[in-house]
Amino acid sequence: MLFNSIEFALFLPLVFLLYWFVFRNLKLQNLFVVLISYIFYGWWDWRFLLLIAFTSATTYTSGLLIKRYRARKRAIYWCSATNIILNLVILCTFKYFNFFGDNLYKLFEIFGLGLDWVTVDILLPVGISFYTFQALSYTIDVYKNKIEPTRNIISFFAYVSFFPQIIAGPIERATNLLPQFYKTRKFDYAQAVDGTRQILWGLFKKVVVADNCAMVANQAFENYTDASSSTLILGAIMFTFQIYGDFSGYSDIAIGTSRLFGFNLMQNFNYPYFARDIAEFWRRWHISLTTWFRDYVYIPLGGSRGNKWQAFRNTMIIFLLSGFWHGANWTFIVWGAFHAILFLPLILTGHNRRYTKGIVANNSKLPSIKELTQMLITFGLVVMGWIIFRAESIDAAFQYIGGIFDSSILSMPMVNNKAKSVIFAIFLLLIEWIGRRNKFALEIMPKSFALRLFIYWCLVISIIYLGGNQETFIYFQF
Amino acid sequence: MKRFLIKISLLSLFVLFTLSIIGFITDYYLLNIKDTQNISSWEHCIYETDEHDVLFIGSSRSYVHFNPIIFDSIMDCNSYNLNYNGHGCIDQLFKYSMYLKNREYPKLIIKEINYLDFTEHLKISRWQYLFFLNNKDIFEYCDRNSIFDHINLLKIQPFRYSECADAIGDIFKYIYDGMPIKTYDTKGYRGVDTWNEPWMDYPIIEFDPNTPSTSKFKDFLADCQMNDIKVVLVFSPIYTDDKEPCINKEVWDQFVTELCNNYGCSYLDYHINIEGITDNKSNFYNANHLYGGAADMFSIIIANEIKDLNIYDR
Repeated sequence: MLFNSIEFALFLPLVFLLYWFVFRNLKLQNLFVVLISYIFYGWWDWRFLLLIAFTSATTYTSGLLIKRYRARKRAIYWCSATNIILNLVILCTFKYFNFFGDNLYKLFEIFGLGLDWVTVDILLPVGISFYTFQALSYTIDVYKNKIEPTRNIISFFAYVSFFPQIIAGPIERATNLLPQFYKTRKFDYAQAVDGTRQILWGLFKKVVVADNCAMVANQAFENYTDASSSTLILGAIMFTFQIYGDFSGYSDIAIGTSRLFGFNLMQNFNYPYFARDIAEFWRRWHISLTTWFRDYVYIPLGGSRGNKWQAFRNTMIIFLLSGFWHGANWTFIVWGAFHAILFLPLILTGHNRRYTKGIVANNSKLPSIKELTQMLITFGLVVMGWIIFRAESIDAAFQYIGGIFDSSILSMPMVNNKAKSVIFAIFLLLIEWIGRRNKFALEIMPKSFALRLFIYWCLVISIIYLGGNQETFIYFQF
Repeated sequence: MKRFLIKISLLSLFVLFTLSIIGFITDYYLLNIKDTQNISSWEHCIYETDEHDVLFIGSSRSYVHFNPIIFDSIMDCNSYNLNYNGHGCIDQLFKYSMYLKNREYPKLIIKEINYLDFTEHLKISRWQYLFFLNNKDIFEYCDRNSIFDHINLLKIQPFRYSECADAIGDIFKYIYDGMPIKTYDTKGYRGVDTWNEPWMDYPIIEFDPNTPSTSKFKDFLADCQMNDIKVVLVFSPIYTDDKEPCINKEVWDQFVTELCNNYGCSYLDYHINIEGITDNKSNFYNANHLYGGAADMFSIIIANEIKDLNIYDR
């Protein structure tokens, strides 16, 4: 069930009314959340439910075992390690089996050895990377004693399968989301209005901006061998907006939907395309994943302690892992490495933590020339990264980038729908720039009721009439 | 909660009201502009029962390249241009099957073919179906081929244009540019004298002879052969500065030769190197379509050539 589908448009109001009017008791509400989350998730393929139920059950049990044997360090170490390995094995089996198999096969071929390899067509369960990481964070936090293991199985199952964010995040931490299932939730008008507005904005970003930009990006990436330089540049920029509109739009809908049900999820995007350097970009892009890797991989590895090369090594490891997390393709790994390399000069010069607070032009309407230049350079590098990310193979990525440096750079891009897509992308940038100090661009609205109604009306009408071809959310594949 | 629900309901009603207004205005305009070729063409295809002995089948290229009046006078026939604006071979053959529901088989079919004809379904101008979704065959066809994402919703007026804002865009274009000129609009053909959209080049193509479209097309030719319908395949002009845009032309040639040998049809290739037509960019309004004057020149050439083939006898 896609967020931008008719099914969800009917599903959401129905479960909202049932949740607040029928299931008023906390236990019933939590049970209802599990039920609707499983219906929502099973809508893709009911077999996925077995997997998520298994992950939830084993993680829940490991939490209880850790609690029981808290005094025995070795026992809790093995208990959490077993659960972590089990979750990773499941993830790797479903996500990376064929990748490893194919690469092993090619490696053997290089040495002239035939390997009788059978490729198994394994169905990739949607959202597996997201809920597995959520489950892993629980086990690690329980092991580190950051959170008390829960006995409440319903709350725990609701935490792992919570429907707004099960498919594409934000990857919630047990420390934030799980306790929210223990407390009685009351309907909050301001929170619900805020959530609805965030859903609308998210839908606009996905349906109007991302799906329209996708039409241009797809044309460029499908015909990169023949396309002119200007077409390739436009295609890459449009993909940059597509992936942002798509993923941050999903996050907005997820966060907004959660707020309708009285839950607060973490912010997943914080205007990444206004970043002044790559380090700042990564503090603003897919925050839930970035902080996950920071807390559970980077810091345990030593973080930025030690010398600069150790810091770079750790950075390289988390970027490679982050790339690999996105999927079983070398393009993602090279994309991760590319970003790690962009980090190198910042680490060496000690500038990687230059922009940790506030956003660009925090106290003014427009950025300074220096800030604008920094933003444009960062944006350009990010676009370059997205070419690698979007391309079918490394070869294709290099060919695409090579095609950009061509004399046809001044020609008119030869793609359909370019004007519409460019207008929507600029509109998105403009609105996000105006609202960049808020959690989402439309958080603060004019006081006039008529004006507010007009803005909502424009958003809904645009979503209905101006959407591109309905595309699945990009991050569903991860 | 009450306040929230009231406000959400009010916004929803306001939006529904707007959608209804936009829908009714768009309906009114589209249904009154009969010159919006697609609607009148479908109306004719579904509701009329007039018979024709020569039928042109193809995409928008057939629509603007073959003038039936010229064919009628040269070949002494009663022809009709059954094009399918904006769509590929499978869709064209579907329209042909709809045409046959009320009519006898024609004696001769002139089928426009080109490299792009056998690619996937296109969603261009799909709003032409919206007025015919109550027709069971058209509804099933659209549903089966996923032409719309939410086909059931589109049957309800407020949402009719929700996936086809280009229809509303067309209305604005008509209001802004004025009504399209009717001069050449006859027997399904429409010559174009002026065109105000940007030029589009012909893409470089790698032809794939094994697609669902080619297989469906072979079925169509077999059916024609069985029912003794003569078929002439015509590759009408494109503008590529007389350079071949297909990178595996030999595969295309082999494909067409096999069709001619297996199904007894003829092939007339006029796509490039036609003096006076394909060597002059001003004959085209984009790389795929001729202006009316050039289309008439082309129609005269083709009509005479088909006449000389002696395959049509009234």
